Amino acid sequence: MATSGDLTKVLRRVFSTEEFLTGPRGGKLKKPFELIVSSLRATRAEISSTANLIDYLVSLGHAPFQYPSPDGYPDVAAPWVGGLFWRWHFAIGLARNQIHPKIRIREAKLFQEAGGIAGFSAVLFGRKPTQEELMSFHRSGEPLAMALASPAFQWR
Amino acid sequence: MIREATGIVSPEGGGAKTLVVIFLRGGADGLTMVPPIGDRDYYAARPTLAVKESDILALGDTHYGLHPSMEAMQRLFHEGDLSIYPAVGSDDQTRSHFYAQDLMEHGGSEAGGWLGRFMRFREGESPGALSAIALGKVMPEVLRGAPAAAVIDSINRFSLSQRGEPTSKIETELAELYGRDQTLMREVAKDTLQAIKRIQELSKKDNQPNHGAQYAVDSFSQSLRQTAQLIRAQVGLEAVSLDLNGWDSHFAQDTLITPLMVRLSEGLSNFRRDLGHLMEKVTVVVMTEFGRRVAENSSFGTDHGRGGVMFALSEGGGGRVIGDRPELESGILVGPGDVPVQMDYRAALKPILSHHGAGESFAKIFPSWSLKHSSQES
Repeated sequence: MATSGDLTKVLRRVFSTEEFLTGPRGGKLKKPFELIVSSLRATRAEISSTANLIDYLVSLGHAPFQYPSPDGYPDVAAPWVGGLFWRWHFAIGLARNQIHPKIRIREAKLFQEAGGIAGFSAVLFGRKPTQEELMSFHRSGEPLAMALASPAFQWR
Repeated sequence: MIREATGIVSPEGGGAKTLVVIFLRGGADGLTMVPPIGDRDYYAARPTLAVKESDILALGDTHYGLHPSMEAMQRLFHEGDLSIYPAVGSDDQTRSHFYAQDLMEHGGSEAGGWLGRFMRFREGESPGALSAIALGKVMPEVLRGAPAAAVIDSINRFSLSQRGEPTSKIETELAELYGRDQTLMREVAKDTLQAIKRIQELSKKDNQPNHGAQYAVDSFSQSLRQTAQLIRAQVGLEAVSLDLNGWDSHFAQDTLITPLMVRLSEGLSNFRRDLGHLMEKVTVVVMTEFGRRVAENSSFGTDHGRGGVMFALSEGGGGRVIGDRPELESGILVGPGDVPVQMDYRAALKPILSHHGAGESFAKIFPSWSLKHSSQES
């Protein structure tokens, strides 16, 4: 595309590509630590105990300072996808306020401020949720749990 | 680069190999479980605790036997499934439970446990959702560092929900969204959902053990039973950690450990019977942090020692005594009178891990030991 150096045109073109709009940003699967922290932040969880959060990191194979060799925890997706069960378990537990009595979220307030599940999903994913996603969230009966457990939220 | 993950939960047949590690915590007395036959020094050192020669269960024509409470294990030996390692141990010299267990579970001074490292570094596909499980209340050190590891005290409570409420609507929608996913998560999600379903079916059915196996009601035997259920359900289980506690027999040793030996022996035998032909993909390793001192103490017990016993159970892979324990004449004893470690537990584990797919990664599973070991050889 020839723009004679018009960066506005270049950026507009980049931002309107399919890959930019729908592709997972960065193309990196969140490591368990990132997933848990981003879930807690996005839901503005009130936290006064971290014990059970560490248990989740252990179950997900990402216990702090426990990697056996000096190269550190892997930075590619394959070794981490095996933990989907615990990612879902955490999402459901957090949305239902069942992780720990000292970890609380307020679903109604979150949705109210973000403009419902559609608005809140946009906060989570950094893009508008697709129609399929929204329908799925509604049908599940537990839209917050479902959004946190959904494929889109597993990626950076 | 993203490696394509393929189905780990097999639809039928096939499935993963499973390694079950049983830790006898407290330092089990190898000289009572596997007494020497015709060793006068044994009887001299243990006037009250030695197993009477006429009571010892013979192991073929070897010069070792089994304690009379372990008839079921004698049968497993003679059927060619049980291997016995009479003098295994680690380089730990502290004789402290804490240090010795720690060393044996970590496999050296590395972070994480050797079973966890095995799961991370073994060859083949990435481990699945239910690949590594500890049956108990806490994650044992040996399994730390596995890519995904679950601690469960009962498979009946294994569900996506903390309190066991239904999650079936969520599962349906997860299947929907992940089914459309274009990344390697799609197959893993399918496997995971299938594994959850299979476990739910397991806990619904009355699920009697097969082939007439009858497990005792204690938690160790029940853990073996649940392990067999998970293996039968083919959910991709590759590593299991179980504990049998209470072997620290300073006082009244006979009363203390005879019931444990029965539990171990009957448990292994029922497990093997229950699994039938599925046993061909399973190995059970039984280990303890150290053996006990040769001489009994004044409280009808024994104190912490060095060399202890290890057992391995696999279909047709046994019927052998592996390694040797020298006769107990005092000249060969180490420290305050302990059985010397004739075989390092990592050397004993090497062929087993290799059978389970450790491949070239053994040096990553036991890095410091492998380094030392290879430099000694060269």
